[in-house]
Amino acid sequence: MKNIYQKIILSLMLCILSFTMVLQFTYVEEDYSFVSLKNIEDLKTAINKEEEEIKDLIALIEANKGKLREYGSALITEGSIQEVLRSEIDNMKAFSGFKDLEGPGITVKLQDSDRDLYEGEDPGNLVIHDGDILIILNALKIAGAEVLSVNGQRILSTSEIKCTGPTITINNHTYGQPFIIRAIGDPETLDAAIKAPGSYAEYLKNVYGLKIESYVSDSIKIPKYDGNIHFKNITPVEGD
Amino acid sequence: MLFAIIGLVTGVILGLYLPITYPATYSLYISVAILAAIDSVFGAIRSILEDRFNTEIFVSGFFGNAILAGFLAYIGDRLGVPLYYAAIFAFGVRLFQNFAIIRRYLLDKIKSDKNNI
Repeated sequence: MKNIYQKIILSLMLCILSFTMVLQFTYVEEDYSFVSLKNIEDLKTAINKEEEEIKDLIALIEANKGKLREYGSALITEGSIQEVLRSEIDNMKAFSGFKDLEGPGITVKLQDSDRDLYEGEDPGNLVIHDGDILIILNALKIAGAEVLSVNGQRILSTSEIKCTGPTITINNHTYGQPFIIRAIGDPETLDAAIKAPGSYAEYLKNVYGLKIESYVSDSIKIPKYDGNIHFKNITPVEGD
Repeated sequence: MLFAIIGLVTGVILGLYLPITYPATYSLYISVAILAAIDSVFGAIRSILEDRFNTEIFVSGFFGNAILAGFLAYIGDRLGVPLYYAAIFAFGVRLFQNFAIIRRYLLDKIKSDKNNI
């Protein structure tokens, strides 16, 4: 009796063993490799990244399709792809500073102060510095200026404003005071950026006594950049 | 012997036809557990040949070893150390030892049978 009981137990165990083995064989057959939890996490993040990239690419495709449609409709209305491309080049030129531009905006005139120095005061306090001009240009950009020039020099993204003693060098041209900044944009906002209490220009004017004046105009003319551009270090990335 | 074969065959049939699945992550743990179970079975065969077979020891070893081996693999995974190697070595070595002993018993038996004839 005991022998039978033992044999039943044994067969039950073997049944369980072969059951799990078959389960494992049939299941694992497809692809079995040791995958740790960390690997799974890595793969998950990789998949997420890929998915995001795919999303970006789809968006890019959409954008390019829109452009294509634009070209197509422009072709129908304007008749020639040259026209479309030319207008695009004009836009690019306007943006990059190779075109004379005109529009409403303001003129800001900055001049050194006429007042006498206080006892022991730094004479630098009465002078317009390169930093002052930079800060005012930035304030105008914040106020929505689309194009800027200083003393007739178009401000490009690479334009330097360098202190050269009592003068300031912009686009390799050196100017003495007064400095005249022209900006095209919404005239009222630009004017406010210069005149608003608490603005940097107002501070220079009222605290240091520098002569800063701004005039609103409906037609500001800003000349194109008159130099040449040479790139030494950059090369465009292929396939962009 | 008959009971053992019946058990194996029913297990295979059940495994083939029961629609049971588990996450692929656990397949390593189950593999190690299967190794432990095979080891127990070989141990049982050996003890039967030695007339020392004890059902309680066999059943507890079967499940205990399998669960411990699977658990070890899981812990190793979590710690980043492949601890399941420990189970593979321990059970693998014992498996071969048991098999060697079983072989000797069987060969002796065959020899003695021949001599009797």
